[in-house]
Amino acid sequence: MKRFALAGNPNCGKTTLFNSLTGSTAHVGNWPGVTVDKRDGVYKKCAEPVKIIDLPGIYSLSPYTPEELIARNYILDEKPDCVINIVDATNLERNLYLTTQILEMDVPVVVALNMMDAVKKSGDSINAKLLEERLGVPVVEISALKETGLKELMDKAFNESKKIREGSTVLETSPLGHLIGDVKIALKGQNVANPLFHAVKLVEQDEIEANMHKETLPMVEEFKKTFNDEIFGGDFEALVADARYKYISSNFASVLSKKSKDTTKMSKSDKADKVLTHKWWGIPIFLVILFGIFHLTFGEDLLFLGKIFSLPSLEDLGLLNEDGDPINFGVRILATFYDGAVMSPGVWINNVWNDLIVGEFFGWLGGLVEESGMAPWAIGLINNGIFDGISAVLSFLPPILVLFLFFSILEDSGYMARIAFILDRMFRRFGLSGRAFMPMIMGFGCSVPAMINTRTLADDKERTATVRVIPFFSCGAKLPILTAVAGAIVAFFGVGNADVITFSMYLLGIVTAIVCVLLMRSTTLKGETPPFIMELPTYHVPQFKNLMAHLWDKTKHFVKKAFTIILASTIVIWALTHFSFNWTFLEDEQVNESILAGIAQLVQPIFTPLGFGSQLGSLGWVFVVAAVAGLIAKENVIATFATLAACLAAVTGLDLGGLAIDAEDGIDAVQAMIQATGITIPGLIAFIAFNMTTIPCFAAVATAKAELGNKSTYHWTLVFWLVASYVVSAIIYTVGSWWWTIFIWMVACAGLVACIIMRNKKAAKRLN
Amino acid sequence: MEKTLDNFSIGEKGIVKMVLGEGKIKRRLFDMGITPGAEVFLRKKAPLGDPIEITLRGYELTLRKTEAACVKVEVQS
Amino acid sequence: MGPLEILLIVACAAIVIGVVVASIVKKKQGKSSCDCGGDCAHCAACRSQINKK
Repeated sequence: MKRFALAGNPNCGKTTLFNSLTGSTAHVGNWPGVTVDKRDGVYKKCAEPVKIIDLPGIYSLSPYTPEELIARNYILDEKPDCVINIVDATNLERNLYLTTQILEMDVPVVVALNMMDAVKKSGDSINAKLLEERLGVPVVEISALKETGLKELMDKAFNESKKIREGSTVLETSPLGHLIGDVKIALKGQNVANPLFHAVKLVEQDEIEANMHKETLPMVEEFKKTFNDEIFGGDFEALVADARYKYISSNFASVLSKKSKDTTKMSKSDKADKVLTHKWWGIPIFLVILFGIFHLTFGEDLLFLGKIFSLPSLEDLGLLNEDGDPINFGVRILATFYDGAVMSPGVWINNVWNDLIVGEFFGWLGGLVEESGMAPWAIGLINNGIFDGISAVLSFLPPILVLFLFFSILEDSGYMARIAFILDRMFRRFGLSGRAFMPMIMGFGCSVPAMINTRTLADDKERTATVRVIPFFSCGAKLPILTAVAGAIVAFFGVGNADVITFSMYLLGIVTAIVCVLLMRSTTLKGETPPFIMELPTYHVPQFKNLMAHLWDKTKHFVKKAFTIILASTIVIWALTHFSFNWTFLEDEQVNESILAGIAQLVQPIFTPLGFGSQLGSLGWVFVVAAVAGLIAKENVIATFATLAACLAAVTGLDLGGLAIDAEDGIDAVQAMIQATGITIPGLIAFIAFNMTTIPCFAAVATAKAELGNKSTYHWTLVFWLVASYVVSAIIYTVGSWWWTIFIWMVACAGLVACIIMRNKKAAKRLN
Repeated sequence: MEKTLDNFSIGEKGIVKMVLGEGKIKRRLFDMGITPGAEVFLRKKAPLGDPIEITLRGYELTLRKTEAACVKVEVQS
Repeated sequence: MGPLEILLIVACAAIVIGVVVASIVKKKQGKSSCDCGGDCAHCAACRSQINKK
C-alpha cells in the first residue's frame, strides 16, 4: 500500500485533514503541538487504498525537539511515497519556511493550501497557480474543515507518488549556494540518500549530521575559515534561516494580495484577548473559569440559588415518604436535579445515570441472579464481587466526561494557549516554561496522553520533572476515590462539604507538584529555565463534531477498561478473599483468614504513620489492598472497596441496608470500611493523598518508562513517587491528628531547604 | 533608533536588525520567522509584563523578555 | 455444583487469563505505551535508533 505523510506547522489543520481523509476521530485541539506522536489511517477514495500518516506539527527540520526528529526521521528513513505539506494560507510566510526544507528531500511533495475559506472571508486572495510555478510542485487549495478540495489533493498526490522527484533548494542563490552544491556532490559520491537535504543540514552544522558525516564536515569548516558575512559572521545556521525567509518574502509572498495592509487592526480574536489576557484581570478570570468548571461538574447548588432564595427541600414539599424515598416516579426524576437547590448539569447527569440507569440495571440483574437458584457463594461472587466492582467504576463515568468536555472546550477554543501565556511568569519561578502547563492540565484527564505530550518540551530535564509530577494532577480515574471518600466523610462524620474536600484535594495535588518541581529543579534536575517561544492560535468556536469525538473516545476507553482489567481484578480479589492459604473456601465472615488478608497484614505496619496501618486493627488491611489494587488501575481502589464491603459487613455484623447491590456510589462502601475499621478523618484524607501521589497505574508507568527513555531516570522516578506519596500522606495524617506536629515538619523542611541552598552555593562557588 | 525587543512598549513597531544569543534559542527564533528584515509589532504584555506577544509575518508569537532581549530592532514610527 | 456454577468459574477464569495474556502479548509485540500498534513515526524512530546501536 502506498504511504502518504502529512507534514506541516503545528496547528495548521493537519489532524483535521487526517480525520477528514481517514474518517477517524484523532484528538484535535487549538493548541500548537497536540499531535506529538504519529498516527495512521487509510484513505479509500483513490485508485487504490492509501495509508495516510499524520506526523507531528513542526516549524522546521532542526534537531532540537523530539517531534521535529520524529517527522524528519520518518520522511528520511521510512521513505513515504509522497509528502503532503499542509500550509496554513492565513500564515503563508512562516508555513512556507518548512516547505522550503521539505522540498530539499528527494521525495514527491504536494502542497495543500489549507484554510483558504478563512483567507477569502477576510477579502484576501492567493494566486495558487503562481505559487505552484514558483515552488515547482503541485499546489491544491483545500479546506480541511469543510472537506473541500480533498479529492483533488489526493488525486494529485497519487499522481506525484508515481514520479521520482529530486530535492531542490531555494538556497542556490545565497552566499552558501556553492558550498551546498559542493557538499552535495561529495555526499552523492558516498552514495548518501537525500544528498541535498543532508548537504544543507551539514552546512548548517546540525549536530546529528555532523556526527553522521564526519568525513565531509572538514569541507564546511575549511570554507567557514575563508568566509565572513557582515551580519552573521560564521554562523551558517542563521545565514541559512535568513536566506530562506528572504527568498520567501521576495518570491512567494507576492502570491498573496491583501485587502488591507494594516497588520495592527483589531480582529475578533484581539478583542477577546483584550479581556481574557488582560494585565490585571487575566489571572482572576482564569481562576473564575476554573471554579466555574468544577461548580458545573460537582456543585449540588447551582449558582447557590438554593442558599440565596432558601428553596424548600423535597421533604419540606411533602414529596418523600417516611423512608425518605420519593413518593412516585415523577418525584424520582425531579429528585435527580432538584432537592432544596438546583443541581449543576454534572450532578444531574450523574444522578440520572446512577439512580435511574446503572442502579436500576444492576439491581435488576442482581435480582435475576438471586432467583437463579445458584449456590450462595456463586451469587456472592456475581453480585458482591463482579457487579458491585463494575458498577462502582461505571458510576463515575458522568463526572469524568463532563469535566473532560469542559477541558476540551477550553483547548479547542484556543484559550489554553493563552493560559500558558498568562502563567508563564509563575511557572518560571518553578523552573518550568509556560508550555509545561498543557501536559499538566491534560493530566487531569489521563496521565498517559499527558506524559506523551511532554514531547513538546525541548529541554530534557524539564521533561523529566514534568513527567514525574503529572500523576499529581489527579486524573479521571482517581476522581472516584476523591468523591467516594469525600462523600463518605460527609455522610459518616457529618462534617465538611464534599465539593470543598474534592476541590482541595485537587489543589493539594497541584501544590505537591509545585513543591516537587522546585525541589527537583534545585537538586537533581538543575538547569536553565527553558525558553518560551510559542505561537498563539486564533480563537475559534469549538466544533461540536470534534467535542463529541473526544467524549466518545474517552467513553470507549473507560468502558473497555471496566470490562477488562477492572473486571479481572475484581474477580481475582474476590477469589483471594474467599480462599485460605490451604485452598478451602471461606464464607464472607471468615475474610480475615483469607490469602489476601494474610499478605496485606504483613505490609500493613508500613502504613501506620499514614493513618491506615496497624492502628486500624485486624480489618485495616482492606485499605492496603485497595491501594495496591490501585496500581493496576486507579478505578480499582473503589471497586475493591465495593467488593469487600459485603465481607466486612458480614464480619462486623453491620446492616448495610441492601448495600450489596446498591453500592454504585462507592460512598456506601467506604462508609462500611469506616465503620468496620474505625479509621479517622486524617487517616482517610491521607489515604486519598497517598493514592493520588503514589506510583500511578500500569499504563502511566509504562508510558513514563517509554518517555523517560533512560533506565536509571525511570527507576528514580518510581522511587520518587513512593517517597513523595509517603511523605505527603504522613504529613497530612500526623498534622491532622496532632496539630503540633506541624512544627516538627516545618523544622524538617527548613533544614532540608537550608541544606539544598548551602549545597547549591558551594557548587556555584566551585564553578566560579 | 535601535533597541532590543524586550524594551518595546505596547503598540510599537520595528524592523529586526539582528538576533543575538546562543544556538538553540537563536535557531528557534529564526525558525519562527524573527530574521533580519522582518517587521514586528508589540501587541501586548502578559500580567506582570512578561512574556510579551508580538505580531510578525501575519501571525502572533509569544516569547519571554529574556528571549526578546536577543532581538535587536530598528524602531519605526 | 450445578452447571451454572461451573460455567461461572470457567467464565471467570477465561476473563482473568484473557486479560493477562492480552497484556503480555501486547508487551511482547512492543506496543506497551503507544496505541498506534507499533506502526507510527515515533515507534519507527525508536526502532531506527535501536538498529543504529
